[in-house]
Formats: sequence, C-alpha cells, structure tokens
Amino acid sequence: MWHDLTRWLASFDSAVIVWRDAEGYPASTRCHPVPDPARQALGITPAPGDRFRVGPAGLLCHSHDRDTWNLRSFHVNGELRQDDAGWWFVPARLILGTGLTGIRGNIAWLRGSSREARDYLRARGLTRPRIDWAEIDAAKKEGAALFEQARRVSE
Amino acid sequence: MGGRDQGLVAARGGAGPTPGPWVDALPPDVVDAFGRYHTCELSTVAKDGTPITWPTTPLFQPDEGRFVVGTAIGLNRKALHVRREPRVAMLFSDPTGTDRGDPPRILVQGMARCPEDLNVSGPLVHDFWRNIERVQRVPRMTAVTMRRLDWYHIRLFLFIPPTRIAWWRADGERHELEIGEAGNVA
Repeated sequence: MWHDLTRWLASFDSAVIVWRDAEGYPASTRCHPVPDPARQALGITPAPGDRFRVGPAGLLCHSHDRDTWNLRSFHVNGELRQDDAGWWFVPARLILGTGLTGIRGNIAWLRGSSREARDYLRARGLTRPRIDWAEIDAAKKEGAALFEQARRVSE
Repeated sequence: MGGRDQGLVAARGGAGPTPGPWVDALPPDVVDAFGRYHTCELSTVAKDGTPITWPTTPLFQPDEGRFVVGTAIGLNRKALHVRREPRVAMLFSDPTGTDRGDPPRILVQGMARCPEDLNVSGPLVHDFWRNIERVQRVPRMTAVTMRRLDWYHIRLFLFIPPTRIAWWRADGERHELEIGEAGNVA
C-alpha cells in the first residue's frame, strides 16, 4: 500500500487532509505531504490557523481540468499523529477513485452504483421514480449556456 | 459578477436573492468565491468515526442561508453518513478553472440534513443540474444513457447551513465567522 500511495501521491500537486476538531466536526486544509519511508507516514505541515488534532484522519487527492473533466482522485483512511518532529499522517487504507482504476474499474463502478441504487430503493420499499428528462435537459441547457458564455469571456 | 459566476446562486427570477444575515456578514470576496470554485471537498464522518472527504460541486443558496450537495442514490454513502452524524465540513481550496486570480481558501463547517426524498424534478433539481452543467459540459443524454444512468439522476440532497466559516487570503491569516442556529451571526 505504501508504494502505491506514494506513487499516486507524486502525480498530484497537493492533497486535502481532514481530521476531527475539538467539537467533533470534520476540519480540513490543503497540504503538501512529504513521504517518510522510515516512518511509513506522510509529514504534514499545518498552515497558519490550522488546528490539527491527533486522531482518525483522511487524505484526499483529486484533480480536474479547467472544464472539470479529466477527473482523478484517491482517498486514504488513516490517523493523524504528532511527535517532536511534527505532524504525521499514518495511512491505513488506500481507496482509488475516478480516473485511476482504468476501464475495467470504471465498468465495475457503473455496475456497482447501479446495483447500489436498486438496493437503496428496495431496502426502503421505494418505487423507482419517473425522471422528467425534459426538465433536466432544460436545466442542463441553461447551465451549458453559462459555461459557453464564461469560456468566451475568459478567452 | 459575470461569466462563470452568473451560476453562483440559485436565484430564480426577480431581482435576485435576499442574503441571510451570515451572508451579509462575510466579506464580498468570500461570498464571490463560493461561486467561482468549480468544486469543493466535502467531509463527512463514517460509522467508525473516521472523516472521509469527497470532491463535489455544491450549490450555494444565499437566500436560503445554506449550501446544497446532491448525491446519486447509487453513490449514497455521503447521505448515510450525515443521517448518522450531521457534522460536516466543506473546503473550497482548488481554484482550477476559476478566472481572475486566486480566490480565498474557505472552510465551511455545518450541520447537514439529508431527507429521504428522491429528487427528480422541481425548482431545486433544476438549479442543481444547471449548476453542474455551468462548470462541466456533459454530453447530451440518449435513450440508452437515460436507461442505464437513471440512477445517477435520482438525487438525494444534503442541506448544509453553516455553523462556522473560516477563510484565508494570500497573507495566510485566519479569519472566522461563528453562526448561530437561526443563521444569525453569533
């Protein structure tokens, strides 16, 4: 897992670290983790005002292009620890997401999500609702016009 | 605001939204940034207490004093998480795609609510899909994709009124706003 994690981490500019604050809320910040092979942990330097807390934590790397395509992501469950040398994220489980699992992974994701939807409805005794495709299409067309307008402005 | 930012709010007709008290209390560049970011990182809490972070495209509704995140019923873990533990965080920190320089980095914490409603039509569904398409052109649906991806278009909505907003500009100094239960500034 460590080898895979550091390999994927190197392909992203930065990461988001999340922990739970003193009131139990998740809190997060963008960071630049530095792998320490001896510790099998990632060194994390808090930005000013970041109130890190020892305990369960997560690390997300994700990226997209300016048009929000070419999505790539992975998440790591783990733990935040602190010692004399600073703050460390100790990874426990790597979960590859969009863009990192290949075509087979994408197909499995689609099938799994479809199955999950069916199970969600079945578990609650819900009937699959009829989707108003015309309404959704109209909304998407409005959004697409805004997208094109923004592109013209920025170019 | 212009260009991409016109999709900022879910204002529907008329002269636009009437901001809630906490929206009024934020600096204009922070309010503006909510519409400039294409994505934010939503963090929820799993059953074992571990925080999990998800990339999302939220809808900012200043007139309602909240953010809305939609998730497909086939990708329902976020919804199940907040039904068990409503405390969430949203980090606006990836400026890819935003124009006009770097917006402030913003951390929103709040108590999320996720009703059981299956959302497939209505004004909020309209605003949700318009907001998605404003930042990401999606190929038009065909009969085949409508049939195979209907689960993707049955949405659960997470409603997130903030309880605290912190932000950082280029100088790195932390600013913070505490928000009461009624959406008023504490």
